[in-house]
Amino acid sequence: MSRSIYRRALVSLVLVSSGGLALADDVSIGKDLGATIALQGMPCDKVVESKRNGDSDYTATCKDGNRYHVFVDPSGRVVVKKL
Amino acid sequence: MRYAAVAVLCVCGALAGCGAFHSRAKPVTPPPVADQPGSQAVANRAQPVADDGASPSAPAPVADQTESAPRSDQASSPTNSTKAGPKTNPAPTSKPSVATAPNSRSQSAVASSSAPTSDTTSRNAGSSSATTAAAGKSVAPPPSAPPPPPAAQATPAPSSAVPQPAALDLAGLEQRLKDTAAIGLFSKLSLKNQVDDLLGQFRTFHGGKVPPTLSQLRQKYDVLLMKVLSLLQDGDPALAQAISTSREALWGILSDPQKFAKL
Repeated sequence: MSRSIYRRALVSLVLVSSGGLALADDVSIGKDLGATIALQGMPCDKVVESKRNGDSDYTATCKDGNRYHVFVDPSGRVVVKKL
Repeated sequence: MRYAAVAVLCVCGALAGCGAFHSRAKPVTPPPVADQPGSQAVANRAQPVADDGASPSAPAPVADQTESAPRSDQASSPTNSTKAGPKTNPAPTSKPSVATAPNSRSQSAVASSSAPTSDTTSRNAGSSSATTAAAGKSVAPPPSAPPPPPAAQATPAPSSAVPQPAALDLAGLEQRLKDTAAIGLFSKLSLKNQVDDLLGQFRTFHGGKVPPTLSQLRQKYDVLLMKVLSLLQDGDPALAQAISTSREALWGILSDPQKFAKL
């Protein structure tokens, strides 16, 4: 009984920590994407959702409703396209 | 007979001592030391101290001179040389040539030349000894002595005030920008793209093509720098400050064809 409780607690702790790390990563990516969109001169006050499409390829949803496709093209340039 | 001889010797010694005392005690006029030989030079040296306005201390030097006569002897050999007294004082401490020079004029000139150094030390010590008095007196004469230090101090100031592009650590700034955690990966890549674009436009400008003009390039340069600073100001204020202070130096490199070619 105590062992099962201990195992459940441990698993939940791992899940929570991993989720926290992912959340922190999402926040940092969101900030980076928001800054990148702003650098390109496009309106986006705050990125509320970001979806990873592939390596260096993201879709960002801003608080004002705008959605952008942010990726790095083969020549190494960062491209921001409004969806 | 013996007693008479002894009495005569004592009288002679007293007269000599009194004469020396009076020569030291006299206030000294501002010294063109080289022009005035002997005791007159000493007297002239004594005056500036009084003239400097340390009226309360004016009597002190006189009194101190009597007490610290040996010190004066040691510090300023010319005074000793002018006197009929011994010439064995440690003039070498101030200048070896003084001890060897027999002429009072030459020695006084040397003393005047060495005055500033001794004067500074004496002023720092703040003592009212005869040495300081003599040194200060000897310093007072050269009106040229004070000006040189301010001039010397003034010369570095303009050089420090002028911005020095040579001191710009371009490689260091670049590395710091690459390593900073204040800017995310996408933002860094985007900034790099914009910097490369701006450099291409500078290359076109230095190649002789009219658009873009230098003023247009300056605007783009300022905008790009503002973007970088806005990303750095919260997360890495030190780097933001460094880049901000290097703004003109960086522009100097970009706008100069020769310096730009070396990039």
